[in-house]
Amino acid sequence: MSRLGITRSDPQSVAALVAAASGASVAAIGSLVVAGWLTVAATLIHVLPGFPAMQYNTALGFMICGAGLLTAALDLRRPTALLGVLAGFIGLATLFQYVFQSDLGIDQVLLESYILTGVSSPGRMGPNSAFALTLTGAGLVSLVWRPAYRHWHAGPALLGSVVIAVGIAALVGYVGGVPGAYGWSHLQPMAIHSAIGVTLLGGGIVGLAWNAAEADSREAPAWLALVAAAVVATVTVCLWHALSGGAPPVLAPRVPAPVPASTLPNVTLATGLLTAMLLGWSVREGQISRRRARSLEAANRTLHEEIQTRIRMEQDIQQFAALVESSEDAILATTLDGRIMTWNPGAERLYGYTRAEVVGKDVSMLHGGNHNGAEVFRQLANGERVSRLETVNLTREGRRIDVSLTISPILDQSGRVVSASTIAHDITSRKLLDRMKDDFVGTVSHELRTPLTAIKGFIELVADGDAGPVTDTQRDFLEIAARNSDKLGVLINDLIDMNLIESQRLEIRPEPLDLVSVLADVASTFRTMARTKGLAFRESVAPLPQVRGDSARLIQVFSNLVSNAIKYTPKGEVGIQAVATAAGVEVTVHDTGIGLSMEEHGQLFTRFFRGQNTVVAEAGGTGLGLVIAQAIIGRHHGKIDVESRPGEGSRFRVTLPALVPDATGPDGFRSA
Amino acid sequence: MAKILVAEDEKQIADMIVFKLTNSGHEVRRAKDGDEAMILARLEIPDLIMLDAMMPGLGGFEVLRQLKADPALRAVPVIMVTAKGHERDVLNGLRGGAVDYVLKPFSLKELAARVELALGKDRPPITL
Repeated sequence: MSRLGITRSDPQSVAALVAAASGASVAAIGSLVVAGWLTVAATLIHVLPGFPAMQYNTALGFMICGAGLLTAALDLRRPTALLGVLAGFIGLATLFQYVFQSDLGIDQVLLESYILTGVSSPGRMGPNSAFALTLTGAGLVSLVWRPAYRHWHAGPALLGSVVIAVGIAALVGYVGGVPGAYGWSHLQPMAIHSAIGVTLLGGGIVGLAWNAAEADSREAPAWLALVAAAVVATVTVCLWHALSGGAPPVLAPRVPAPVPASTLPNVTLATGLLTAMLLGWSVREGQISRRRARSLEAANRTLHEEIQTRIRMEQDIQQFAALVESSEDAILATTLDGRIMTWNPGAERLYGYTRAEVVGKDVSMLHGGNHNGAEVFRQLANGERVSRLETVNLTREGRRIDVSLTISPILDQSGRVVSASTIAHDITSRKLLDRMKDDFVGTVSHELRTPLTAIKGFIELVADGDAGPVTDTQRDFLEIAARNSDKLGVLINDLIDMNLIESQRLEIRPEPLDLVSVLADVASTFRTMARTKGLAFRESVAPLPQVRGDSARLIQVFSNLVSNAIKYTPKGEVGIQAVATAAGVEVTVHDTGIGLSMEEHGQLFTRFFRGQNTVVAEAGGTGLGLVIAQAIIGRHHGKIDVESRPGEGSRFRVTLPALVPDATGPDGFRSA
Repeated sequence: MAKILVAEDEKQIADMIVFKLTNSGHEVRRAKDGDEAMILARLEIPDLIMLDAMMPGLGGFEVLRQLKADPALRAVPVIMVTAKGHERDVLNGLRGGAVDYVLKPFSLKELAARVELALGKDRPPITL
């Protein structure tokens, strides 16, 4: 994590950018002046004729400090420390020479000074520049040192602020014509571009400290007031000193200081220091009030968001409540031990209890005693939903109603099941209709069969001569009547079978069965019918393994196939074959009749399908026979399919699994 | 020549069956509902009983149950006559101890043949 750097994506890098720009500018000033010294360019060294020169060492120090600011801004800690130490050393060594009036030989170590200033040793930078360089070097080192103290940035910031003040004081001296402000005592004065450079250096150090503080705490540093006050106070002290013509006592003036002429400098000092204090105090107050305003704003925003969320939630709740209130179905919530908590108008209508009568009561008051409550609650506790549980409930008046219940667990935020919601849908009318349908089929079949039985029976009695002798013509007519009553009987049976298939109530009674006798039975019924029509009737039944089947139902299937074959074959032959196969028995009923087209193939086993041509139209039939046959064979775990071409006849093949006595399931069939 | 009780609420059907069985040489008693059938059965102890499944009052299956519960009557073979196509009706009849069932509409010749067959045997109630 970078504290100073501008290279990282740091949101507080504006201060660091300013610092880097200052560093670059100071380094540029230093380089230009060094170039000026090397090329003897007076303008670069003095700026204006008669102005003090920037010494070669000062220019070097500017290059070092400028580079130090850049490396610090780039968060290169080691080079920054090195450059800081170097700058500090140059400044400190120069100050040492002033204080102890000695010559360490550092002033002209790189270049022999060719400008004689007359106020100090040749090439020696001014004490104020040396002071500024020392503090800047210390600032750079302290920026990368970073002690564990929370407000450590205040250290470099204070150092930087003093540096700024030294630069500003010198600038004020130039602008206001007070030489004492840029030339301490009568020693080497600070050049004008040195003053600018020093101000920039101090600004750069403060900027980097600010950046580090912001990176740490995400807000403007708390020591800002201190820095502002320090700048003003230092500038004031410098100006006071210049005006009073004094010199720092340690700097051993070469010329005695003149006696102050007035009290003006002292007034300036007092006013300046007071101003510094006031400035510090107001900056501090400003910061505090700004922080307060900001936290207030944040609190306001949070509060506003909370209110909005509440409003939305309340709207949602109202909408849900409206849904529950307007539902036709009964919707109720219960605790996990079955106490009713909520009760909607749908529940009032369905059960007849008002809200006040049931809330707090046990939900079992609604159960007709046949509701497996324990199992339901076990599922709920596991977080599972109970869907469409059809059961009987009791109303307030004790009426039994058929309901479909959907019971869902209600979870709290941690996903724990805390209560249950029940939606009860009234299915009484649907159940009633189901029962009526059942009864209707039974009634209709009874009502149709009873008169038909009488018709058939009496025709038979007359035709058989039980009621006296009959003529041949009478017998022929009675046979026509009998045949038609038989057709009616088949039609009724087909309709009832269809109804059973559709309501999935077609039952078969499987028992070990020898198909040979079943097929012989069928053949004997239809042999005469085929021959009467002039068709050959072929039978080929090999010995067959036993199957498990309902003989009456299988006779129904094969009779249907053979009678169809005879019906739809104008000439040629019909036949019935049976062979044993690996899986069981395969029975084939074939004919040389009209056959089936491709489309007819596809629709053959659909309800009420009948062929399209005249033979079919004459033959009659309900179109239900094959559908019923397929359902019956399906219930025997067998298969029925057909091969046919128009004009070439049809071949229906029925396969049934062989009986495996040891491996039969509960329904009597081999388990697949 | 056997004594046969026919319980059938539809008068024409009963007439028809009685006519046929009388012509076949049997002595036939008729009951128009279940209660009458029970009274006649206890009074006469017939050789065979034909029961219509759907009758007012005592239904055919209830009569069958009472017959099989009566030690004096439980050996008498019973043929159920039903107009309902439901398999469970047939199963109820056979489980209850009927020897045979005839589905309406039926052929009188077949009915007569089944009667002759049933007169040759009787069955106790079985469990399917």
